[in-house]
Amino acid sequence: MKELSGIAEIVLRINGEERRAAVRPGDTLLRVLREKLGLTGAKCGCENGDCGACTVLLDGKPVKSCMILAVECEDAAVTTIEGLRNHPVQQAFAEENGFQCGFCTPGMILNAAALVEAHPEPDDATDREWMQSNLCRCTGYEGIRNALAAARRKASAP
Amino acid sequence: MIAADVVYLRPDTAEEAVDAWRRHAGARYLAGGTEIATAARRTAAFDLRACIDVKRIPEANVHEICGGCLRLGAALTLSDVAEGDSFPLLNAVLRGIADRTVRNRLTLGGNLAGLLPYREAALPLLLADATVLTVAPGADDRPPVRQERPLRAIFDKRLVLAPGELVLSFCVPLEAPEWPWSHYRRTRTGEVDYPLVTVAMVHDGAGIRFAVSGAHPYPFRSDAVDARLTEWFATRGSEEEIPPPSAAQSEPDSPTAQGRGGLKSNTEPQARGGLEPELEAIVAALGPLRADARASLEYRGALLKNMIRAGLEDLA
Repeated sequence: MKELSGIAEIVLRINGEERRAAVRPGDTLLRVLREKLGLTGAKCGCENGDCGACTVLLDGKPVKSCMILAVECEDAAVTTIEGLRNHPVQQAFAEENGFQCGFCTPGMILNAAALVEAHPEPDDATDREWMQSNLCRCTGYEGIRNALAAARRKASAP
Repeated sequence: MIAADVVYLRPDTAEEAVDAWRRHAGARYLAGGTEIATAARRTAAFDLRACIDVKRIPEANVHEICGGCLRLGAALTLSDVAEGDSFPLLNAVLRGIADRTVRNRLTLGGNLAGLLPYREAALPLLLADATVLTVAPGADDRPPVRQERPLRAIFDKRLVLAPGELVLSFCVPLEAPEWPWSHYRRTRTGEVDYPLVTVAMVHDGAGIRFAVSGAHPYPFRSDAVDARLTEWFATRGSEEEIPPPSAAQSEPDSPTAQGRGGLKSNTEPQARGGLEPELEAIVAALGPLRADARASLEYRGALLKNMIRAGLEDLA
């Protein structure tokens, strides 16, 4: 049985690299990413699981990193926005102006990337249900929706 | 960040988990962690000294048909369960809870055992007469005790468990997912919100089973109301007595066939003739309704009556 207390070193697989961090068991993944590992792409919004600004991929599934303890993520593959390198969804968000201030954008892009991966074919009901996990407080959702459609076109282009 | 100094334990077996609970005073079992992480961060009043991560216990992750039942591990995430096709009513109910990225962490057992009062995942399991497999610390240093009991026997407003008792899985009789079902869910501000009222109903071949959450301070199923609805359903007479749901009630873009948002705009009681007194009587039999800043008692009552009528129409 694994047991951790005080300050312990854990190994996380983040964006394909092994990263070591000294953490307290009560540290959330979000805080460890931002404050211990310098990966500030995941944003600290509500820290209550509502806004989705802290979304990362855990073994390919979008999750809210403010609700997960870093120690739970040993052996899992964590992908942050820094791990997406010119992904079609990133290109589409830039081309379709799927953002305004950009605070929610990393979470939006990671969730959208997982959505496009899981559902390559467009489906309004699924898209709506999936993207409801992320809130944007300054632009409308039309640009985001357009970016999603454009990302699918890019992903399916020969 | 959680301010308290926490001990983190990750057992490999159920027995190790209850043993860890016995050794660490004030320990809590951690599965999805969506409630524990937020509550512990928000207030020091949420006592968290040790958390026992039960996600990797194999028995809590089963999703299989075995021995004449569908067994669902308590550590399965709501997304894992909802994406299967083994229990359509359960899938429909789970898809209404929280949002997608939360459902990717929130577990079946966590939804039932959590502090939030809605516990909507309990509704299909109560209707199906599911059983629950648990493991609890043995008395006086004896070995841990496993028990499989009817969910209804240990669900009184919430799961009633012994200190240190851990839920491992739920077992659903195989016929239950085949029953005709109906599910309605109504929220105040949007689809991602706590329910004002959630109603789930099935027809088990002999009668109606009915369970509700949100309308009252806790979810429940009542034999008396089941009997009353069954009698009413059997003797309802001409089809005109249960008016079909309006277009607003069965809008096509609802996430499920009879799913949440199904009662979008028409919230006024529609019952006619002899229906209204009977609906009033059934709602009264369900007990005092909840009233809060999100919805008045009258509004929840109107929703409940509409949902019962629409559900019976679905099952008819």
